[in-house]
Amino acid sequence: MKKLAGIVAVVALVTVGCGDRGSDSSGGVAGGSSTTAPTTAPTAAAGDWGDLKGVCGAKEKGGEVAADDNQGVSADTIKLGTIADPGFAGRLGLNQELFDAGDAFVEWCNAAGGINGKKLELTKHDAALSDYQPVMEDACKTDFAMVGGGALQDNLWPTVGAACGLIDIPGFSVTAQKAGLAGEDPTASRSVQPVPNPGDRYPVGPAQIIADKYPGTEDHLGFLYGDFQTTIDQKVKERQAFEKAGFTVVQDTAYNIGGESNWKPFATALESDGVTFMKFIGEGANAGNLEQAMKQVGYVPKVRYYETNFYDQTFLDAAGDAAEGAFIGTAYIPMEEAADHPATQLYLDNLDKTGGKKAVLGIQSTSAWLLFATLAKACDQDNDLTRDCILKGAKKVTEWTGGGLHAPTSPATNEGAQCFVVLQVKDGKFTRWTPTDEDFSCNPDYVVSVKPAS
Amino acid sequence: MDQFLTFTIIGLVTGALYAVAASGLVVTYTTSGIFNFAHGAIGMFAAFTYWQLHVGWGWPAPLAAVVVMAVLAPAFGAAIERTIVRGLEGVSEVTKLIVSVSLLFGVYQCAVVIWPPDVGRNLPGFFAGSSIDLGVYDLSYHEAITIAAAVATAVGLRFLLFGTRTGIAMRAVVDDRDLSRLNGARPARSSMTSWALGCALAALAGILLAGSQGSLSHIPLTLLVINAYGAAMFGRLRSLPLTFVGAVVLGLAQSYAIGYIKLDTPVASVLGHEFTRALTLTGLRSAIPTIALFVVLLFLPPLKVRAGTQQRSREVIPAPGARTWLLGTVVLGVVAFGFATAFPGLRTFQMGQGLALGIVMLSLVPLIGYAGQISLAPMAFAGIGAVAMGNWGGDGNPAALIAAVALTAAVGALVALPAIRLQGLYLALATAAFAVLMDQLVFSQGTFIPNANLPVGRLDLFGFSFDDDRAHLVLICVVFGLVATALVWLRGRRFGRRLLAMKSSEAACATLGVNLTATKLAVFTLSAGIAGLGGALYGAQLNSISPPTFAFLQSLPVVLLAVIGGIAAVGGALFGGILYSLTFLILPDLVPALRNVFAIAPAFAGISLGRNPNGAVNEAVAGFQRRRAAKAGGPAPAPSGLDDTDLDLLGLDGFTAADRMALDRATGLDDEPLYASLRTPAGAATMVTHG
Repeated sequence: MKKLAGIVAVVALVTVGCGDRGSDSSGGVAGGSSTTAPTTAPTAAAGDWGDLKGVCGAKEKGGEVAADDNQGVSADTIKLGTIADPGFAGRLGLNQELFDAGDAFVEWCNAAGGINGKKLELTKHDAALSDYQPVMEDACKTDFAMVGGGALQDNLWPTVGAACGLIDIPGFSVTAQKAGLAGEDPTASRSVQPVPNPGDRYPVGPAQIIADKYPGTEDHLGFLYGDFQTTIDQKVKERQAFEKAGFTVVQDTAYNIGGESNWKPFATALESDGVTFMKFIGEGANAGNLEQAMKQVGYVPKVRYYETNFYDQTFLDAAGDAAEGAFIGTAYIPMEEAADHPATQLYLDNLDKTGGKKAVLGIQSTSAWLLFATLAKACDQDNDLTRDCILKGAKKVTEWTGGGLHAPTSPATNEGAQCFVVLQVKDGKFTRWTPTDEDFSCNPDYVVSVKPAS
Repeated sequence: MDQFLTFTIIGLVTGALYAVAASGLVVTYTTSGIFNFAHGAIGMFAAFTYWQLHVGWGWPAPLAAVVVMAVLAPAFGAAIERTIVRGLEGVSEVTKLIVSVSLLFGVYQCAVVIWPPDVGRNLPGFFAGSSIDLGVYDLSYHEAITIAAAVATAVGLRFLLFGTRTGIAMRAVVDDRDLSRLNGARPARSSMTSWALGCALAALAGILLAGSQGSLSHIPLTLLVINAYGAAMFGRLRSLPLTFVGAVVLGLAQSYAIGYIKLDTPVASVLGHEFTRALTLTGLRSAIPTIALFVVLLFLPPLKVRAGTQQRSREVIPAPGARTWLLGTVVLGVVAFGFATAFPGLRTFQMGQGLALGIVMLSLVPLIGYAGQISLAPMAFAGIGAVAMGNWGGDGNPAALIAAVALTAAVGALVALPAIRLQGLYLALATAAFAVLMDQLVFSQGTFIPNANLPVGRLDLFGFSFDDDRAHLVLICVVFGLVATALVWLRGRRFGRRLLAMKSSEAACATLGVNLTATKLAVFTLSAGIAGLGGALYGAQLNSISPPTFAFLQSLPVVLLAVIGGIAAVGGALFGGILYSLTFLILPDLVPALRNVFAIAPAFAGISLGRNPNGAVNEAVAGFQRRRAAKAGGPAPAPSGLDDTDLDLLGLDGFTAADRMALDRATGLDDEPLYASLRTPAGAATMVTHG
């Protein structure tokens, strides 16, 4: 791995492909449909995060060190690890936002007093795309748990991390093996996802919300996706889900994931096939080029719909004013609305202090940190801060919003959100489009079962 | 019909882009004799510079365009010629190619460092928003300018090369540098002009392409050159009109393919064999230029073996003994064990990666080092080995390793068949095209690498498992040593001598009745097999492989480092492997601040090969021998730069100096000093030193 170009595109894609599944949070049954997060900022104490009270703080009770199954835990510290690929020379800084979010959270939590008085010691393990095994083996020697990370080779988790007794509360799962299926038991895989993205679910909800407002577009759905296995698999999954939801596919075209020399034929093909609902799978730069080509050719489908991973300045920068009107579906509180959402605001404030890139992936990682802190605090207060206790605790978390960072998910059953918000690009900014009277629009039918890719 | 016309117009615009890019490539090649792999990268760099001036700093578009295309790009081209290309006289075709590949690598890395890829960069086309209504299609001003630029390039180049003194001198220099010099031309100046022109055309293509895409990205712009290769190949790298035809054909084909060819149905079975995951054909369309390149290569007539034109190169092949290497294998294994014990964990893992790639680099030793044939696809072959091992090997079945090697060797033979009729550059292009095809059509398939991640088991031998990192490092080192020993041994056999002789002079070999085709086929097969072995071990070292691991651009640092180490010697591969671990994996970890330096350093080392074509290991050994000889008071061996290529044949199988002279006489090679002495005495002196 190291060096090289072709890779860069592919890696971007893989990561995003994952972000694709990861950050938009698929699947889900879980909780009810009440979703409006508190919009009035309560008087927040130092260790509060949104509607999670006292996540971090001085010791309240318990705190005795358990006999075993607790490597890295002492009377006043917890050693934790996080993993990502920023050292990958083909794209330096890949998923650095995971490390940034970890730094920011640890700094914040320790300032508030730590978890039940125990300070966090964070080791950032840089897998640099290819070194997952040796860096995880390092983690095996020292860390209590892996929190808030995500690495390209995470399919190796069962034979390396889980095998040495570690537990993982990842920011996101890259490979399908790590992401698992809906209903899978996190205690078996020793991996608990705060925002699950099971391979056998796809949230078609945002698309349905849009199609309701643009009747008729559902009969002319067109897919454009990168000719790379990860994006192809994603397309296969989405096509099943869209068809189940009553959409009719009129176009299904792959583009070169490494980039096209001319995007106009694609725009023209959209026109000749009469596509009115365009679904693009890939990443920001290619989508930006397509948006510009559509504008130049003069055929812009009524609906251009993108997943959460396009909720990124890169997309806006690459597309320029051609991005106007594009739709993005997400289960996260948009950062633009942080002022009304203390949890999101706290994430942004913390990053202002420690520095780093603000991104949905970072928010997702923060959700993992919050889930860990919540579970660890409860265990420690019972004098049982062990990995086993954390996993058992996770099995009971069927409704999780990260203190209000995102719509409810069910880590216990590995099922994602069924509530969404649709954003639209307006005047070069991501703007809430629907719903406008509540944070999210919810419906159990928004999530469709699909056959997993393999 | 309207749709058809629209696709046609768009195809023509794409074709015009390819034409501008390809003509720059052809101009540089025909006028300096060096195929500039960095052409696309230079265009990419120019596009980014234009973006910086125009969007970043707010310069008016015309000013920014003129500064980039008429000032910066030509100056860059002239500087390349002055500092790099001029040093390449008298080096082999391989070294020339490597230097231009290094340039590609260096320019690309610099661009990534200066303009990090994680930021979106919008670049409006010229006169964005204005268009000409053609009835069925609104032709934007930018597209009109693209077509106009292609036409102007065609007419302008035709006029320059055939209608002006400068152009005629440029062509003369390529035909025969010495002869044109005798006639009063100044080859250096002509060559500088052509590089300046080539870079200006690259910049034009880059800016037009970036503008028509609407935003900048490093890779498509860099790899544009692959599409341009296809077009240039239509004109056999010489004819500009045919190059333009090729460009338009490719542009139209790609455009129509999007409109009319539906490839979204996967293939579930082939010849009755059911795949667990269907093959997808979606990559075929974007592979059109690459496929075209391959097809055109198939129909190129074989180049005639020309006697007397073979240049003696100033490159030498050292000859260590097989016994030394057998001993070296043991030492290597012990050292590896010691290293892994002293630096367990990540460092051992990283060293294992580098040394596994060292085995892949070994595959280039017989091919490039002995036989003088070029491959730019070692990682593609390595990928085949790794994929085979991952799919068949389970937890490390040694039989799977053997099968992986056999499969890779067989694929190597298949690839070589159409390509071996051709020489140097064409073979390099064919292998590059093969590597890109593997990228686009094979490694991206879930059939071969499910979910873009395939676990590869580590070997299990006689009940001993090499799962442990230390054990695996020792295994890799021992395998490296054994393959190296075999290669050194082979070099002294009949087959090895045939390869060396072929590198020295294909003409002489043909005269002596050596079957060139069979020899090339054999060495290519051998090389692919070794790469497959290295790839299988590399995959096992990584535990799990994903498609980027074996991308085309991954092959470049492997070739680069092997050549930097000294491609003719197996020790060079060892050096290259260790260097890979150090510069790409270990040092950036230790000194993160210098990360960017380490990323670019190998490119500079590669570029420096023009001055020092024998590689680091040879220079070190030669220096050591000179010192030792000086200490002993004996005559110092001649510095390597003065050595004769086929000196190493001496002493093998009773081959004597007299035999060599006879061989030279038979092939007309001994005319060279005579021919040279016809020129100025000073010129004669240089000629003799250059051998």
